[in-house]
Amino acid sequence: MRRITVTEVSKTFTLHNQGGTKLPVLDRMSFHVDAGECVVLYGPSGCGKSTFLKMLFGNYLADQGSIEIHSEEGVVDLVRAHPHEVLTLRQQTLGFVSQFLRVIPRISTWDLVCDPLKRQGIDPTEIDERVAHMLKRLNLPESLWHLAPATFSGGEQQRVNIARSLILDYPIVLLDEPTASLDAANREVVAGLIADAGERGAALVGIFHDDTLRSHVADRLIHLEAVA
Amino acid sequence: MRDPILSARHLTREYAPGQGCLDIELDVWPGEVLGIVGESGSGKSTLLRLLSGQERPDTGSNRFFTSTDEWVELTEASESHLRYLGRTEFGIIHQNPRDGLRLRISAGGNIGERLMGVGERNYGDIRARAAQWMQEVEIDPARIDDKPLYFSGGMQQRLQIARNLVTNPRLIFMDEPTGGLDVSVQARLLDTLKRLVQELGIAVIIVTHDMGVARLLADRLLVMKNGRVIESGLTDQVLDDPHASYTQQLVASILQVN
Repeated sequence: MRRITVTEVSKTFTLHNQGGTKLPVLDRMSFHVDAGECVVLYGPSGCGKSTFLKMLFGNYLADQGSIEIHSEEGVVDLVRAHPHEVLTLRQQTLGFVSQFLRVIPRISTWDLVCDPLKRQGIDPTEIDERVAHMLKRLNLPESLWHLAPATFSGGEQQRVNIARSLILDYPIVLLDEPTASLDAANREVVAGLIADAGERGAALVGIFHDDTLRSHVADRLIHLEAVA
Repeated sequence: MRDPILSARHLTREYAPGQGCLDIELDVWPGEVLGIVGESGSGKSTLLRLLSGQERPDTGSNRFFTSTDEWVELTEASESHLRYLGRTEFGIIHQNPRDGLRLRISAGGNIGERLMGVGERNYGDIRARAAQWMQEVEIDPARIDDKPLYFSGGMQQRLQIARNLVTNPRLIFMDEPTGGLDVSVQARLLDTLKRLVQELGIAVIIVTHDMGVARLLADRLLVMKNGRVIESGLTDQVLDDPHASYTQQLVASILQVN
């Protein structure tokens, strides 16, 4: 089953305040991802992997082409979608694990991870069970659960981030170097979570610098080259 | 997609050439937070006054969908109808709480006055709901009989929020609600606002020059310059991938903490 169809997508950044410099990043890129498949974006740094992943989340806008997201409600083209359609997709269809946790000050780890479940109106007892299970699986000590992650280590923050982004079974999961700041044991845990997501039928698109993890999870590699 | 709750077209109010608001088009949907950002003098506060009916435009239309499923053209509504909507369907949170409160009547009275405005008469009920709303915005209900004149700026702002929310409005207008407050007080107030907006599902239009406030609260952003909307979109998209020259400048000027 098709989940993502990308057709002829291009993107150029125009830096108006730096003499109108134009930075072409992607040039007529096309590919697709099916349910249960893990596609890895691969290429030298600066080739636009991260930019592309952000476009799949509606965080960056494509200049041309189309990015079709297939969900139960139909097909939405992110390049032309109304902001509300993008927000709905993010609540129900698109999960994103970013490289760093954008720290929301003063909100506890527990509340951060609960939030996506609450928005879905899931039963509070079930929420408690799922959140506790996820935090345990990611080896986050219980003493941290009710603290705000601002003072946590990079690896701890990243695990909060992963917990929050994978707590819902999104049909599409985008991963931007999810294991960059994790030790070997926790990288294993994340590899396990990724495998689980694939088995339940999620379409995965990711960037992984870690060669072992990449070859372990990737069904397909997409090579990106810097656009000159 | 549901219908918008507020829909403005070609809204214009020009004080001097290029000053005020020019040809504004926007829609606000139930339950969303729309942020309006831009520098001082960009017309964002004027726009808020036009949208909330506090000021009449030169031209253009501004329609509001009421809880009784009717469209009201606010630009043509009578003063008394606007006042009625102000009591029942809108809330207005001013930057300076002194503009939105009566400083010399008690905190409970400030909240109760709004309830009496919509026909509540039972003193015991009014007082109980005032106390409940003080708790909701984290003011000690023991201060119910104190005058807000003696409250701190942060507490006054909380009281202004309680006064506005007690009548279950469907659309709230906020003009720099954390403007005059210390950073630590701002932070707590923003947490309270975010929680209440999510719990109550009300629509909010918030004017701010603080990109941090915009990122924290707003679902969508409009960027204004010289009276016009020059860029709009999802908040994180506008802030992370700004297209207009002015928006890039605005985003580049944010101090990065962390």
